[in-house]
Amino acid sequence: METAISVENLSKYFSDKKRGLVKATDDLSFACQAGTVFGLLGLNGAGKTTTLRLLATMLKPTSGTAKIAGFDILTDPDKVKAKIGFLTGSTGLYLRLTPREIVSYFGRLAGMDSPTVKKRTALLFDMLGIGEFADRRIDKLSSGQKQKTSIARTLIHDPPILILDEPTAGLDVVTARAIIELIRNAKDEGKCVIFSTHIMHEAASICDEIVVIHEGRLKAQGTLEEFRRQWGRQNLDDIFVAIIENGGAR
Amino acid sequence: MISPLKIRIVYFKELRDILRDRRTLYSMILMPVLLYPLLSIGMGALVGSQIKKTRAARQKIVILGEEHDPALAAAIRNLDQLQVVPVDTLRQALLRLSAKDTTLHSGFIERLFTPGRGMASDSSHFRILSRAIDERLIRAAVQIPPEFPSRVAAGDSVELTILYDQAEIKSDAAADKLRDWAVAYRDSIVSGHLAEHGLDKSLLKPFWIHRANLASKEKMGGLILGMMLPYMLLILVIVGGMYPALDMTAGEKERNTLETLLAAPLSRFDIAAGKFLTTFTAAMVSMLLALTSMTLTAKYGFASMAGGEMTISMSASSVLWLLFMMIPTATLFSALMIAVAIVAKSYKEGQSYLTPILMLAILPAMVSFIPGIELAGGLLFIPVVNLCLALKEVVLGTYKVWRIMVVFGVTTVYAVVALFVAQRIFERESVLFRT
Repeated sequence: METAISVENLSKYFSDKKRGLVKATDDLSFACQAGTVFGLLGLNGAGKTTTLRLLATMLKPTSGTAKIAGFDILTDPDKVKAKIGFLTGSTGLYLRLTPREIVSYFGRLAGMDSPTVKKRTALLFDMLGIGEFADRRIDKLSSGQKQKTSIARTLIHDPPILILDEPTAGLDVVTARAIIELIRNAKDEGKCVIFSTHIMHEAASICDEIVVIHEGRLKAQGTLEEFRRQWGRQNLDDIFVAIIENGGAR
Repeated sequence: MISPLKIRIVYFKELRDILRDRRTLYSMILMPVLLYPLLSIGMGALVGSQIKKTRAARQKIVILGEEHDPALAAAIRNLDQLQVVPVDTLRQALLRLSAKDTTLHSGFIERLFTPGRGMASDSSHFRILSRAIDERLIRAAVQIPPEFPSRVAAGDSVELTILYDQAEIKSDAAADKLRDWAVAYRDSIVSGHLAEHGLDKSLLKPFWIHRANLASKEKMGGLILGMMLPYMLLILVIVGGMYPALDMTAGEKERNTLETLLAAPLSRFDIAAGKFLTTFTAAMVSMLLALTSMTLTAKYGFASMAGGEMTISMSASSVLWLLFMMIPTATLFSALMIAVAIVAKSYKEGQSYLTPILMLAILPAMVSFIPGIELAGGLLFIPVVNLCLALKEVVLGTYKVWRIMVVFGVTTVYAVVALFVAQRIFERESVLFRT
């Protein structure tokens, strides 16, 4: 299997007025394969968002690096960004534009020419059922329609890697299901999906491999089956708590 | 890596986005188009018509010491433009007031209006009359001193007092009418004396004084325009760019769209440049609309207001110089606004950050209202001040090209610095991800 993401000793420190030096991401190393779903599990503030933002080159690491589809996040950020689709649960859309305008905007920014953008937009809109509201302004759309637009926006340039930061957070069940479907489809197409969550059953149902991070550090890595064997429990909730409480050492 | 293509994509997207925003449309199009005509014609016409109305109206006055010269009092009564309130009516009205107000002493009121009591000269009397004006019982008073006709006849220098309140325009108008009448009355007495001695009244004025105004109507108009235009153009450039700048930075953060843009394959520089260019465009459009609106207003509206003594017009070269100067100005303020607004977490916070910028520009811009300050020396290098003075010179037509070039150069340097700062701020993670 082809390695899509390889993270090498990645660290990001912030200096915070109240808390002093914060090690949001601390010496992380892991790898994700193409055609797999990779879950990043952790409590709120564990460093999931920072890690994903580092991979998306939005933040610059304090030390270490990562390779995304073979490109280094430090030396080739633009090429990295062309290979990823980035989505979060709270991602907003331009309220005064239409789904078609937004999707085409990001397609053009990804370097696609107009005919290609049009073809790909038609395909995605058809797949996601956006057609009927494609030319309505975002501020007139329901939350489900907005989320579909967000998905189309993420996929417009057909990225081989999806970085999803708590993609279902704050969404209703139906909309969240659309995201889960997106992840499954992406995997079937051979894409690598890395996504963060603190919803355990979600992770248990779709992740091929899981990394638990706590206070910026990697505490455990493996498949759900490996975790169950290792920790002697069935439920991922219980396993997760055990990992956090035992500092990952077993 | 800088990509002109991506800057262009961002620019056109932002332009489309802000053109669908009602707030931007108000500040970028409606306000510049309407502000100046409303201000100049509306306010001008209102003030003008109020002044005319005041002059035309009959103001109420009271005559004190009527008993000293009944003939003079009768002459005043005959004036069309003034209405003489009987002393007794005023006295009664003031006494009614004094019943409710202890500061108004009835004893003083009685004494003021007692015939033959002498002159209203002390402060208590002045206070009563001033109160009568405040209460709009009268607008002014004229006081005839004792033995007025006999002392005038004897050639004594005697004083006729007009009491009024200069802070009240209607009182001022009444006093003007009384003075004009008194001057004419005095002249008629002198003419009478001269005629008695067989002398011509032209002796009074051996020569006339005529001040010939060499300023052309254009220059007179330019004086007004020179004061207002730099100030207004500057404000409109800032206000025109303000909402787009806010919407594209703090607004994007607030709506959670900035993160998506940062994850898209384009550099921060491209994003900043696209947003800066959009702000710049909005500022320039706003300024151009204002300039057009002002020129049209001036041409068709202002001239009539100033009584035909001035024509407001600008030569094509002046307009071109104005536009030329506004380019670095709009650059400077667009970059500044983007740099400041991106720091804010929300639209609202951004607004409170940008208001001081507007203030910072408005205060030095007031320099164009101060007469006598000329563009020279150190002033050439003070931002906003140099610009407003240069714009004023352009409007007045007294500019020197080298001075304009210096101001243009200096403003360009400031603009480049502001651009550089904006770009640096856009690169900062702590600013972009401030939540």
